[in-house]
Amino acid sequence: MSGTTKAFTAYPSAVVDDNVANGADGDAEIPTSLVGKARFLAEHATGGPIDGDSAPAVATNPQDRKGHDHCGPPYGSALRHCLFSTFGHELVGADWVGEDLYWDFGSVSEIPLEFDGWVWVKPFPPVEDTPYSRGYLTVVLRNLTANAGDVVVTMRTNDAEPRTAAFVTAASTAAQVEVDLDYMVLVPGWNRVTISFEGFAAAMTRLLGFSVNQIAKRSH
Amino acid sequence: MTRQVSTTFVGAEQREVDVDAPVYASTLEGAIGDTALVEDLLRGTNSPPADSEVDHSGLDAGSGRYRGCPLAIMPAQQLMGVSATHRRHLRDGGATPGAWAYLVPVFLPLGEDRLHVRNHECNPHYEHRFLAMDTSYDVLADQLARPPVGAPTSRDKSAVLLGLNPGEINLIGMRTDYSPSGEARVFHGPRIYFNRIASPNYHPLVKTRVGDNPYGLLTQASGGGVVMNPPDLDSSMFDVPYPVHGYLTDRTARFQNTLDEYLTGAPANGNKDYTLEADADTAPSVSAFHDHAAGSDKPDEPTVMVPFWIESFGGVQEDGMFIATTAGDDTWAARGRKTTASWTTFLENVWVYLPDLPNTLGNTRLRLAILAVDNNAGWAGATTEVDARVTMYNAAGTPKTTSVETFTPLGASGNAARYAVANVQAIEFYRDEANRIKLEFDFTALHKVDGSSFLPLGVCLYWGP
Repeated sequence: MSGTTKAFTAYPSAVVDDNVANGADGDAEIPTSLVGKARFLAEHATGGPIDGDSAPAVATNPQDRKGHDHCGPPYGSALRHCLFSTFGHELVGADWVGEDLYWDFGSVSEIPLEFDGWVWVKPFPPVEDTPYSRGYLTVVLRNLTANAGDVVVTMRTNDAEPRTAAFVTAASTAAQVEVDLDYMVLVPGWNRVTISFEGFAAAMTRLLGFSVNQIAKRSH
Repeated sequence: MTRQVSTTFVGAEQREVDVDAPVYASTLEGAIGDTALVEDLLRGTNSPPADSEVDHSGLDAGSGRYRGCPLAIMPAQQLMGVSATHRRHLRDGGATPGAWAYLVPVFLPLGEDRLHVRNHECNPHYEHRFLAMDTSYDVLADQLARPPVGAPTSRDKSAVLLGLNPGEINLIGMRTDYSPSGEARVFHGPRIYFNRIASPNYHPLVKTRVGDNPYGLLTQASGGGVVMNPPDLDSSMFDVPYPVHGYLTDRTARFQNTLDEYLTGAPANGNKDYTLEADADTAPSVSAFHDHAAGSDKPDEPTVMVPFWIESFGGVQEDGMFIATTAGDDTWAARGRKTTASWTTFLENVWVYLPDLPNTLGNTRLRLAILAVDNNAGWAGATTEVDARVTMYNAAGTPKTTSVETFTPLGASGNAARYAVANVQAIEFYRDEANRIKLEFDFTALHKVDGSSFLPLGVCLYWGP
C-alpha cells in the first residue's frame, strides 16, 4: 500500500504521560502521534522515504538532504574531528633534502606570524552554541631558549569579534608543548579564518604546527 | 516473551487514526514494532539485516544514505609567513610543464563519488588541471581550469571532480600543463572538500523550549550514566481481543521519546532537559547518544566510514623529479630522502581530534594512506623496499603501538611504477582525544640511496575498511 497516506507528524510533540495513562480520554491525537512519530523516527534515522514509493516526509537537513547527518542536535550528535591543520617538520640529521617546516617567532617587536585562509565548514543547524559553531585551536610549540615566554594568539573569523588567548611556554628547550586554546566562532559553509601568533618576551618560540578542531567533548 | 518488532516498516493509514476512527491494539502494534525496528537499525541490536543498519553507506535503502561527510579537508597550507613578502605557497618550477602542484590520497566513504576542488592564485591568467586518479594511476576525472575570456579578475578557480571511487583511496591533484610566459606560477590556498551546500531549502526542526520539563521524565532511564534502556513489549499484548490500555500507550510514548533523544541528540520535544545522561558532564567516557562509537554500552552500534584529515607534503614533477632544486621559503617542493638507509622522523607534529571510535572493529579501523614517488626507474617491482611507520601520541606524550605497512607500486611500468601507496592499517589511537601523529619511513638495504629517490607527497587519515 502506498506510503503517501501513512500517518506522519512533521516533528511530533512528546506525548504527555497523563494523556496515555489508563482512564485518559480516547483522543484521536494519541494514536496519530504514536504512529506518526514512529514514521518520523524511521525516516530521520534512515534518510527516508521509509516505504519506497512515497516522498520522504521528514524535514530537510542543513546539507539539503533528508535524515540525520550528525551535524549536531537535532540532526544527531556531532562527531569530533579535525577541521584543518598545518604540519611541521624539522629535519633530523642530514637524512632529507628540502626545507624545514616550522616558524620561529617571539622576540619583542617581531612581526606576528599570521595564517589567513578560507575554510569550509560542514553545514550545521543555526542553533546557539551548536557543536559545529566552534573551532578549537590547538598548537604544538617548542621553546628555543631557557627562558619562559609569553605567546599571544589572536583568532578572527568572518565578522566576529577577535578572540585572544595567551599562554606561557616552559623554560626548557627540550620539551615540546601541545596546547588547547580558545575557540573561534564558525558559520556553515565558507569561513574566513585569520590566526596570528605573537611573542612578548625574549624567548624565541618555534611553532611546529597547529590545527583547528570541532567539538570539545564527547557529549554535546 | 516475544519482543514486538516489525521486520519492515508498517505504519498506519491516516484513516486508522483519524477522528472518530475506532482504535485497536493492532494500530499500536505497528507503532511499537516500527519503533523497535528503528532502535535495532540504529544500535545494531537483535541482529538486524546487515544491509539495513544505519551506517550511512548509501548502498542500501534505509541505510542513511544522506549523511554527508563531517569535515572540510584541505591538502596544503594556505598563506602563512612572518611578513607579507614571506609566504609559503605552491609553484610549478618555471616553464617546465607536467608538474603536480600537489597530489594527495583522499579516502571517499561509500555513498560519495565527487569532490569539489578550489585554488587561489596570484595571477588570474594562469590555467591548470584538476585531476583525480585511482590507485592504478588511471585518470577518473580531468578538469581544465582556464581563466574566463575577456579581462579575468578572479584569482579563484574551482571544479567538481565526478566519477570517483567510493569506499576507496582516490588520488586528487592539481597539475600545471602549460606555461605561456615561461614564468614560475604561484598558487595559494588549495582546498578539497565535499560539495555540500548550506541549504537555502533548509527547514529547521523546531523544538519548543520551555522553562521546565512540563511533561516530566518521559524517557526510560536506568540511573547515572544512562544510555537508552527502552521497555520491550510482548507481542501478545497486541492480540486482537485486547483493548487499548494505558500501559501500551504509555510505554510506546516513552520508548519513542527515548529513541527521539538518542537519535537527534536533543531533548524530547517540550522538555528543556535531557533525560538520557552521559556518565560525566565533561569528558565523559560514554556518550548517551547515537554516535556510531560502538562503545562499551552499545557495542553493536554500526560504525561509519569517515575521512579525518589529509595533507600535502609539496609538489613534484610528474616524472618524480624535484620541482625546485634548492631549499627556500618560496617553494612548495616535496622533500626527499637524502643519504642514509635508516628510518628517520619526517612528520611528527600534526595534532588532531579524533572521534569516539573503537581501535579495532572487525575489518573497519583507523588507517593512514601515504603516497610517495621514486624518480628513478620506478620501484623494484612489488618488493618491500620502504615501510611507513605510524605512531599516535596523546598530550602526555605516551605512544600507542606503532603500525607498519610496506609501500606498494601503483603499476608495473611508466609513471604508475614510480608512484606507490602504503595503506597503514589498524592504527591504535586515543579515542575521543587529540592525537599527535608521528610518521616515519624505514628504508631497507634494497632501496637505492642516490639522494633523491624517495619523495613523500601526501597523506590521508580515515576510518574505513
